[in-house]
Amino acid sequence: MIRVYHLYKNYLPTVMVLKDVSFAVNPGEFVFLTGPSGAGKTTLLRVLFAAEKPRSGQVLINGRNITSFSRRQIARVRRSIGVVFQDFKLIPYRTVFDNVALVLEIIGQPRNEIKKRVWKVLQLVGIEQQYNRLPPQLSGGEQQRVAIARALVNNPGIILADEPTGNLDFEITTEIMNIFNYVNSQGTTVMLATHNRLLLETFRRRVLHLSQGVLSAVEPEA
Amino acid sequence: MKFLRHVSCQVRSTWRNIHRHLAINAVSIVTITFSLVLFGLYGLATGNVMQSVSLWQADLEMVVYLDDDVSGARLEELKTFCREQHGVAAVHYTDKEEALKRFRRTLGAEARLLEGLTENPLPASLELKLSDALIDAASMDDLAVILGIRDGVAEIRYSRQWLAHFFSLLRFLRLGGMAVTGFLFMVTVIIVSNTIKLSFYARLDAIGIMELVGATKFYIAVPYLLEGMFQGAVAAVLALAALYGLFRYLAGWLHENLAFLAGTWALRFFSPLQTAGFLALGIMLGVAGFLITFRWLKSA
Ligand SMILES: Nc1ncnc2c1ncn2[C@@H]1O[C@H](COP(=O)(O)OP(=O)(O)O)[C@@H](O)[C@H]1O
Ligand SMILES: [Mg+2]
Repeated sequence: MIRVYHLYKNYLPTVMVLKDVSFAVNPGEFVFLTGPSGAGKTTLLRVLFAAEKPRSGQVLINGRNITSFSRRQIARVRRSIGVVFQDFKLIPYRTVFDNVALVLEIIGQPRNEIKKRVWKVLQLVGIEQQYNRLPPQLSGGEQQRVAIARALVNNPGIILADEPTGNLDFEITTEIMNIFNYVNSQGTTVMLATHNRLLLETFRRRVLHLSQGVLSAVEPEA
Repeated sequence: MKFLRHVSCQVRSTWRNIHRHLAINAVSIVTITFSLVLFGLYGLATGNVMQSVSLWQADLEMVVYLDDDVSGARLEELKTFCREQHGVAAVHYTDKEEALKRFRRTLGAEARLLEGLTENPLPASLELKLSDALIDAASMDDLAVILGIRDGVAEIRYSRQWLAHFFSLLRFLRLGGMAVTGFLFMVTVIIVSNTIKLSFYARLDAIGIMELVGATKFYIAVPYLLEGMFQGAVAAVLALAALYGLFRYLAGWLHENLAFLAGTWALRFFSPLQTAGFLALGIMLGVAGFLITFRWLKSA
């Protein structure tokens, strides 16, 4: 569950990137976050997993206000959110397997459990054959799948995906959207940022629309 | 259980870090080894010299031989006077009988040589134990002069001068050694801290990513702590090996070339406890290097 109240965020003192943003995403929901490039989508997602501190406003994740969290608490809440970064953020010298395993190592899962779960999620996103490769040896689409696998591996209650189909062709985009639809059908809340109109028309879901930092349209579920 | 899993995972990351930055680690290890070897040499030298010195300490006394006709009152006066002198730790009176008895003992089988004696030729004496405070040549000379002009004193004998010189040199070396070691350790810690920082910088992106997927700063820092400890431990083992080699070589050389000292020199390497302490010191140097880095990391 995500609740945001009167959120303001700026990087420079004079430029407000998010202005009075309020919305709610219920458990198990799938919402699109849309808006042109530079509208503040990435910034909003980053505030949701406490990578940015808001200037003012409240952010509740699973009922807890993360804006006043300590570093340790922030680390904890991040383990319950799977994030697919716009630029993937894979560690270049760790193999595909080890990149995904990292999340489970951090929470101290047993080695055989890690192997089982990583293998399963690599199969889910269809990248299991490349498990021993390094990210720089993979195509953009393949790296995207690894990033998704890492976000999913700990069965988080919430998935935040920042343009996960950014510059992929439509066939691969459909495959990747199917993965998100699948985990959403398993009960995971999904918030997916995109500026791809075609995506919204193909997969009809509730849309949160950002324009110059203002959440201007909150459309009801189609 | 969970703790052990974390440890095994952290050890693997540490190993990966070390493997990736072998050159940096080597520099760090060589530096720690170097300063530990110097410290160890200093420790071995002072340790062994102290050991021998305590054997010689018995020599650190002054004997005041008395005239045969000293009265009881005069004797008491002299005793008190000696006791009051700066640097005199204890005064022991040996009368003529006692002196003869002792002489007999030292003669052993040859003691029958004394049988023809009609009167005791040995003088009574006051044996002064000297404290560390008087361990330099000049003040021993001063004391000898002061005592020598007293009534009832026949003669004064005291430790070889070179011994006194040797003691003041030793005191100087001890202080100098401490200063040099302290400085060396400081430099070492700074170098170790910088190598850890380098290995850390090389990982900055990865560290940011780890934080984003829920790792705490502590979790991220542990491999660097382990890296520092590893460097320190390896360096300590290398230093111990080098020191042992040097020690054997030097001991052999001393034995061959300064055989006359064989009785007074009791050369010893570090005891097991000292060896453990040495290892701990190496690890501590690594940890100190890490802590400096970590302070920097916390503020970053
Ligand atoms: N770290 C930053 N420092 C300063 N300005 C930033 C930073 N990140 C983003 N911005 C600005 O904030 C605005 C929103 O950016 P962003 O959230 O990335 O939008 P989107 O993801 O919708 O393209 C843009 O004008 C961008 O230039
Ligand atoms: Mg963006």
